[in-house]
Amino acid sequence: MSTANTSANTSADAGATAGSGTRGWPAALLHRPFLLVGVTIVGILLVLGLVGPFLVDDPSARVAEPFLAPSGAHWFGTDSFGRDIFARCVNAIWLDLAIGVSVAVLAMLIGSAIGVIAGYLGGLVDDVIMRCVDILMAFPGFVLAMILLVSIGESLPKLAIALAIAQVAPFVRLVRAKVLSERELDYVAAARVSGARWPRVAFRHLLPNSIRPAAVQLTLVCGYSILNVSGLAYLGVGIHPPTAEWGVMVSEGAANMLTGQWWTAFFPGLLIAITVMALHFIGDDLGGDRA
Amino acid sequence: MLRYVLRRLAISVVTVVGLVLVTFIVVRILPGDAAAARLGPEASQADVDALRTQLGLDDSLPRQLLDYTTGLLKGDLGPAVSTGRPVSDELFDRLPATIELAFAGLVIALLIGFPWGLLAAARPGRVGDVSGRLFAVLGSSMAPIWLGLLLIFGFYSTWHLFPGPVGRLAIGTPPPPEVTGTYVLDSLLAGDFGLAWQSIRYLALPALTLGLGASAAVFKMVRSAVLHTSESGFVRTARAYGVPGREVLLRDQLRNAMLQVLTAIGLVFGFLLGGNIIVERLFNWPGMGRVAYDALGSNDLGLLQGYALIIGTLYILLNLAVDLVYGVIDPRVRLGGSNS
Repeated sequence: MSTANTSANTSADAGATAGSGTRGWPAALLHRPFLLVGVTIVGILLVLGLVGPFLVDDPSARVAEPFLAPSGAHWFGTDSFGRDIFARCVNAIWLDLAIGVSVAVLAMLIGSAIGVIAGYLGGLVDDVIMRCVDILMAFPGFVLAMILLVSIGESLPKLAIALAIAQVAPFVRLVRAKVLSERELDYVAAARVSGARWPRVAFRHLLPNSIRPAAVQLTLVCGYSILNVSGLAYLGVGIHPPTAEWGVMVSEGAANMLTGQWWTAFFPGLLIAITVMALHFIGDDLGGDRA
Repeated sequence: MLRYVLRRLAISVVTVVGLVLVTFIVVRILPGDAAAARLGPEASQADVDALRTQLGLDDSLPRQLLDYTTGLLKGDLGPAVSTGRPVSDELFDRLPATIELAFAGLVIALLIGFPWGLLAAARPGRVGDVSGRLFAVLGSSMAPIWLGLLLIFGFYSTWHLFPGPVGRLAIGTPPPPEVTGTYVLDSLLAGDFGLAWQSIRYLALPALTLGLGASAAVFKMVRSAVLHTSESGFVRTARAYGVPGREVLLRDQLRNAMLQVLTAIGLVFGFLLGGNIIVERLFNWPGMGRVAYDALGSNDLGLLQGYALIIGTLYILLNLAVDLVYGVIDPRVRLGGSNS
């Protein structure tokens, strides 16, 4: 479809622009405020996620009265069970980031492998693969993940797999588009002439040179996945209470919003927004969409 | 033009066939048993077996696929086990509510995203551009449910500007006589302006929840499509001739960017149709997403399969429509023919 081609092209161009400006790290960061903000937020989250659980209360313990408003003792207030929301939020950082990263990496591995094969072999293989990608893209990713998850059964690894399959299509398209231009270059011909068989040419030579646009997509998909996990949790699929996970906490707090205890859903949702925003900043910057 | 139309049609048909296969595979072949899933962990083996026979799950797979596809051709999506009604009735009854909500969301997304994207592209790097890009990142970073909750908390619980999340009309209000199934249109057709206003007020918050997120996508696509044209020769020439910037933007650049903008609108509308399952649950909006949510709760895989199939098909039809409109408005597409 013409849509996909244009978007793939812009991303590929963008990858090239980002690559041209590799100066010293700290200096470059200062000239890229969005990247700086994004990296800083993710860094703080990582540290908090590592150290935090040792400093705060047990996320499942009832430490106070239910529905205490945010205060010095309970920064984010307490929920309907009297659990400390800040403690739960901090304990959830690791889980949410782990899901986001593993979904993104899984989708990239599967997607780029398929993309390289489609782009390098071309012909019928390419046609079949791209029609399959069209079919995958006919589902909104969220709906696809939901249906997959319901039919294969629920568990953390299956959640990651279902979300990853729903995100494979853009990776296939990005990598394939890059491979199409890359395979005409001399080094590919050289590899072939030297007697390498196609899997070696495709995976050892073409893949490393074609993966850059996909790597940029990685941070964005990581963000989408965190959003999708929260959406699925609200529908009662994927991660369930009483697990301390941001999406689960927003869902648990949804009813309290109408009765005035806004903090139960507000803070976990805010953390989701901040995290995804930071990932967007990083992704947009690496994609060359700089201010 | 005919070749172009036929080619697009053929691709769409192949994709729909693939869609049928995929939903079939996901529900019937992957590990997991529709009957066992439906009856829950406490069901006895005899009950599960009986339901399997009733659903035809004991037949061979090719046989099941054949039954399913012949049913589909007659517009029969099979029975919804959880309610006893046909899947197609369950879903198509709710289609107008979903379309009304998605359309309202699209209107909001366009009202915000389109002018802002144009402004950003006209003066890249200036206030309008930077603020728009921040808005776009923010809009696509919020979980829809969280955004919806914030809107409910602000506009309903705190300021009482809009009604609460109880559906399409106040509880107990009779709906307008059905013509299209969309309440706003139907009450206008019936001449009941009070009811139309009420429907709009109930529509406002869920549509805003959908529309704000989608406006970020519209902004990004309009901005990049228009920016892309400012590097082309015809814009430089027009500027060199002294044509005022605004005229170049609106007459030349926008027109040439319309293809991408149109794609954006198609994508966003498709996304709104399929993505509103969360918003429909949050606002108790009785659309198809709400049916799918109930099907999740009762483990009705057949109903979910129907939902995925209808959403996917709508999405494909939408893309087909966009591609065909391309051909009409842009001779390059119509005559080029082979841009896969």
